[in-house]
Amino acid sequence: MIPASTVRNLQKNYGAKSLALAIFVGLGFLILGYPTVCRGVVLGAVFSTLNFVWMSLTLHKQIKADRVKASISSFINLCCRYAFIAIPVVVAIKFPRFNLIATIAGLFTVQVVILADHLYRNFFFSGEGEKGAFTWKN
Amino acid sequence: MTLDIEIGVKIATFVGAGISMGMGAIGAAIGEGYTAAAANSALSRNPDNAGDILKNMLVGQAVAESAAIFSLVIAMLLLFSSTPNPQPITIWAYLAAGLCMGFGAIGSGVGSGFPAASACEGMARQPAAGRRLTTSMLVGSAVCQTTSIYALVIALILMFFDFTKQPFGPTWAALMGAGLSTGIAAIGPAIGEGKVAGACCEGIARNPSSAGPITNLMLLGQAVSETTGIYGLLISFILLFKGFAATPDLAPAFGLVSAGLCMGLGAIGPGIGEGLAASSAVSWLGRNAEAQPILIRSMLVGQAVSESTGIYSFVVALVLIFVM
Amino acid sequence: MAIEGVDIVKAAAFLGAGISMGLGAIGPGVGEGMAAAKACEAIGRNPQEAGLLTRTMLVGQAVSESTGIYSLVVALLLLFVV
Repeated sequence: MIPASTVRNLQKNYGAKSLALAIFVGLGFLILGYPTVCRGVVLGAVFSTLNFVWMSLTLHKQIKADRVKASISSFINLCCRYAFIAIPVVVAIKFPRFNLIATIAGLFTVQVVILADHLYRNFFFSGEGEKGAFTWKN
Repeated sequence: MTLDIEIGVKIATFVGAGISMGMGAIGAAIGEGYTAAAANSALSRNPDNAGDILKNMLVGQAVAESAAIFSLVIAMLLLFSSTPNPQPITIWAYLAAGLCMGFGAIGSGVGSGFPAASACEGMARQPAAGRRLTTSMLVGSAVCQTTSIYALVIALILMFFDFTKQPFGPTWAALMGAGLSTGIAAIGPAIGEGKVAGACCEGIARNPSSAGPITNLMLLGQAVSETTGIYGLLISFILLFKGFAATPDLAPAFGLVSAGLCMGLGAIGPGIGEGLAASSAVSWLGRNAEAQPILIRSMLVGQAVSESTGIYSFVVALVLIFVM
Repeated sequence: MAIEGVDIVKAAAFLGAGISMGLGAIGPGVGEGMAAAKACEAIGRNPQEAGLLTRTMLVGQAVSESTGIYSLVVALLLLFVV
């Protein structure tokens, strides 16, 4: 009933864009001479992307007929995901090799990519924005 | 004695981190659950459009989660970063930071559930407007996150600014008041803004041709709903940086905590009320596009009157800080 | 530091003032918002009657406002009279 391929395409698209953005920004900081910032951004972005992939893989669990089972399983899932995103923050606090602020900023890469993607499409291609990777045709 | 203070600071970090993460997760869980429920009903209504609905649900939940990630970051910073110079004031600062971020994340988590839910339902009704719906949903839920960003800023100041030089006398109370003010004041505006964004998605689904005016009215309504949250932020900044004369008395200290509580609680009602007024105006703009100017006017008048009790709280908080 | 009775009374009065105004602001805020929401709905349905509807909305809101003003009065009494 649920076409898994469309969600997988979206996940691949945003995951790839987030990683590309992180590598691009990280390389910029590396060239400017801030290696710890580069490591932090990439670390945060990797976990942000993995969290997004995890979300999309478990999406169908939230859409189940049994309400109680769905609630419990998605709440446990939520807690596990938050424990997972806590890892880079703890790593950045414990090891000065990773810049803490850059890691925290990196955790929001997927959100930034989603917002930027939509605003870009909406304001610059408002007429014929159905092109590109993020189309609303199945 | 130093050992006691160290133990106290440890306890404060545990309690603060627990409150921050617990409340943040509750908000996100409610918002995501609401989205999932709406997506479920949308799927049953229009199974052919399942791909778009699921994509929208995923994107909406990913953005709605930011507030919970803020509180996660604060909780981890509280738990794992070391305190160089533990003092009695540090205990209060950490507790206040946890409370501030915890309360601040609830509203944003719940609030961003509304636009995501309405967008999923709208996509079942009007599949052609899908892209427009997702964009408005994202803008709406991004605005919902602003109050939790205020809470994040205040929590970070509470944790990393050095308050040890200031007299313990009323400063502990000023820090607690600052945390409560921004934290509790973030709940109402975020839920109200979420309601407005939800109505915007509903209106676009009903009448995709007037998506532009509807989105503009949504942003106007959200900006007005935000004001009481900004009062809370202002009171917090005054409490943090005014600098109070040392006093051993209880009364001035309780006055400062009370100022924070007053502004925090007082911002909830106007925030939600203004959100309700704006959401109704936005949703009726979708049905009756000709009435736009008159709807905007009556929305602003209604919101201005709802704002009054928030202003009373602001005034009482200022009196508690400056006159008492 | 000796905590005296007067000090405790003053502290409690301040706390009471803050809670009174804070909690007292929730109800009127939400209620007036609901009145405004219904007025917007009615104006959307029937824009010709906008003047009458706005007047009715303002009267209703003024009445809901009264409990907020009571809280303000109680808070000011606690601050300045007690």
